[in-house]
Amino acid sequence: MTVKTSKDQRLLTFIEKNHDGIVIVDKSGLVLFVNFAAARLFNRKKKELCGKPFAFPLPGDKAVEINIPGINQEFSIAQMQQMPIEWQARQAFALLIHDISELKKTEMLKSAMDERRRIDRIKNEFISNVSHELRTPLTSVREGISQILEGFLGKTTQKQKEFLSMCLEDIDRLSRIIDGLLDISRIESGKIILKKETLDIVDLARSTVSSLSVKIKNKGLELIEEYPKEKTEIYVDKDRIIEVFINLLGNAIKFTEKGHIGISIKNKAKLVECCVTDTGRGIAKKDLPRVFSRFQQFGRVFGPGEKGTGLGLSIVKSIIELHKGQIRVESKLNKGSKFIFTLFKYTSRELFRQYIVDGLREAVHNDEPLSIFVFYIEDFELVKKEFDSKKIAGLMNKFYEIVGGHLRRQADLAVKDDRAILLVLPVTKNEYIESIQMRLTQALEEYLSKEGLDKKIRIGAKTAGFPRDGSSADGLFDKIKDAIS
Amino acid sequence: MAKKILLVDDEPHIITMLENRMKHAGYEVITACDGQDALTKAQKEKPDLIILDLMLPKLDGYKVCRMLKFDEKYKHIPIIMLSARAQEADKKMGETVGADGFVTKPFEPQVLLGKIKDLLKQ
Repeated sequence: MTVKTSKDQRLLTFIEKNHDGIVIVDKSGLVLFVNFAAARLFNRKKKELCGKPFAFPLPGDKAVEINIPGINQEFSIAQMQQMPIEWQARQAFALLIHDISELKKTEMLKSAMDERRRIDRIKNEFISNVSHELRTPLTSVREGISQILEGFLGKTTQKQKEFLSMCLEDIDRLSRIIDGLLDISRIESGKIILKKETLDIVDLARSTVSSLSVKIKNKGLELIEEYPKEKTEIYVDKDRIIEVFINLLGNAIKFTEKGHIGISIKNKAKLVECCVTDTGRGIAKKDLPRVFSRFQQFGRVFGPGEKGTGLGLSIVKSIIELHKGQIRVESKLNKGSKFIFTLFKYTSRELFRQYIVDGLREAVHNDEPLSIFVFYIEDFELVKKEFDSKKIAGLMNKFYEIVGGHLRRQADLAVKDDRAILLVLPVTKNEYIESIQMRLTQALEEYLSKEGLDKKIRIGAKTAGFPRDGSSADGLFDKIKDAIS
Repeated sequence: MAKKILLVDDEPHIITMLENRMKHAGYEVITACDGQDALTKAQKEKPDLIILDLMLPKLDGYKVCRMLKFDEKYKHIPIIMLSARAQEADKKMGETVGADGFVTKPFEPQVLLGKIKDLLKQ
C-alpha cells in the first residue's frame, strides 16, 4: 500500500511539475485538476479554474491550436490535445497544453523577413528594369542627334546645330535624373551597402578638388584649401564620399561668378568636419529648409551650361546619413553658401566592431558564412616597456603585410591598430577557422623567430564565426574583444 | 584592311545608328540581333571586335561572352559590353564572364570609339 501511494505521489509530482500545461476535466467538461504550468498559461490561480467548466471546447481526437487571452491584449498560442484517462476512479480527460507562442513568433518574424526580402528583390528588379527601359530609347535618340550634329547625315544650319545641342544637353540631363532616381531609390530601400574602408579624408578631398580645378580656373575663381597637417583617417565608402565632394564643389562652382571656392577639413576630437564654401549667389532664407529636398532648385542658371537634376543635395544628405554623419547649410542671398558635414572618427575598438557589424550584415544578406580573426601582441604593456613605439609599429606593419598576404578574395579585409590585426573573411567557411588561425599564427611566429624576437614577443589569436558562434554582431565581437586595446 | 566589328543588339534603331557611326569611323560592320545569331556570326566571320548588348533574345549577352571567352579559338576577340543595365552587379558580372570593356547606354560616342581603338591596338 505504501508503495502504491508513493507511486501515485510521484506521478502527481510529475504532472504538477511538467513544463507543459495539464488540465484534467470530467466527461461534462468540468475542471478537476490544473497543474502549475497550465495555471500560469491561463494567467489564473488554480482554485479559480477548478470546479468550473473549462474555457475551451474539448478538442476531440485531433490536436487543436487555442488562443489564450493574456495581459495587454496579447495572446498566447498553445497546442491542445486530449487523452482519456481514469482520474480518481472516474472516466476523465487529460488535456495536454503545449505553449507554442515563441515558436509562432519566430515563424512570424521569419516570414516577415522573407517578405521583406521578397519585396526588396522585386523593387530592385523593377528599378533595374525601368532603368533599362528608359535608357534604351534614350540611347538611339542621343546617338541620332549626335550624328546629325557631327554632320554624318549632311549639312546643318547654325540654328539647327544650336537647337540640336540643346536637345543633347537635355538628353544627358534626363539620363542623370534617371541615375539619380535609381540612386535614391536604392539608398532608401536599404539596398546600398556601403563599401567602407579606412582612408585619409584629406587625400580624398585633395584628389577630388584637383579633378575640378580646371573648371574653377576657367571661371576665374580662387581656390582656398585648408587641411590639417596630420593624417585624418576615417572609415567610409570612398566612392560615395567622393560623390559628396563632387556634388558640393560642383554646386559651388556653378553658382559662383566671382570670388572663391573654399574647402576645409577640421580634425576634431571625435569627428571630422568638412566645409565647402563659396562666394556665390547664396540661397534665400525662405528656401533654406528645402535645400536638401528632392527636385528643389533655387536660382536656376539661364543660358548655357550643365543643368542640375534637383537630386544632388538630396543624395548627398542620404549618403552622409548612411554614414551616421550630419550635414547642414548656412547661406546668405548674394553673399555665398557654406555646406558643413561631419563624419565620426572611430576608436580602433569601435572600428573593429563596425567592421564586424558591416561584414555580418553582408554575410546575412548574401546568406554566406563569415570568419573573423584577431591576431595580437600578448602582454602588450610589457612589450611597450621593452621596445620603443617605432619598433612596435614597424613590427605591426610587417605582421599586417604577412596577414594581408593571405587574403584571397576581394571582399576579404584586414585592419590593424597599434597591437592587433583584425581579419574578416566573408564566404570562408567556419570549419576552416582553426586551420587558418594556425597557419597565420605560425607565419607570424616564424617571422618573430627569424628576427630573434620569439622569446620576447608572443602572438595571441582569437576567432569568431558566423553562423558557428551566433548571429549577433555583439556576440561575435564579445568573442574577440579582449584582444583589442 | 578595315577592321571588322560585330555589332549585337536587339534594338533595330540602335543597330542602324551604331552601324552608321562605325562605318564613318572606318570600320567594316556586321550585325546580329540575338544571342544565337551573335554566336554563329562570331564563329563564322571571325570579327576583330564585338560590341555586345546584354539583354538579348534566345541567348543573353553574358552567355554569349562566356562561350566565346571559354573557347580557345575565339577568346582573343575583344568584347565590349554595351548595356543599359548599369548597376554595380551588372558590371561585375561582365568582368566575371571575361568582357574586355563595359560601356553604359546612353553612351558618349567618344568614349565608345576610344575603347574600341584601345582594344584593337592590343
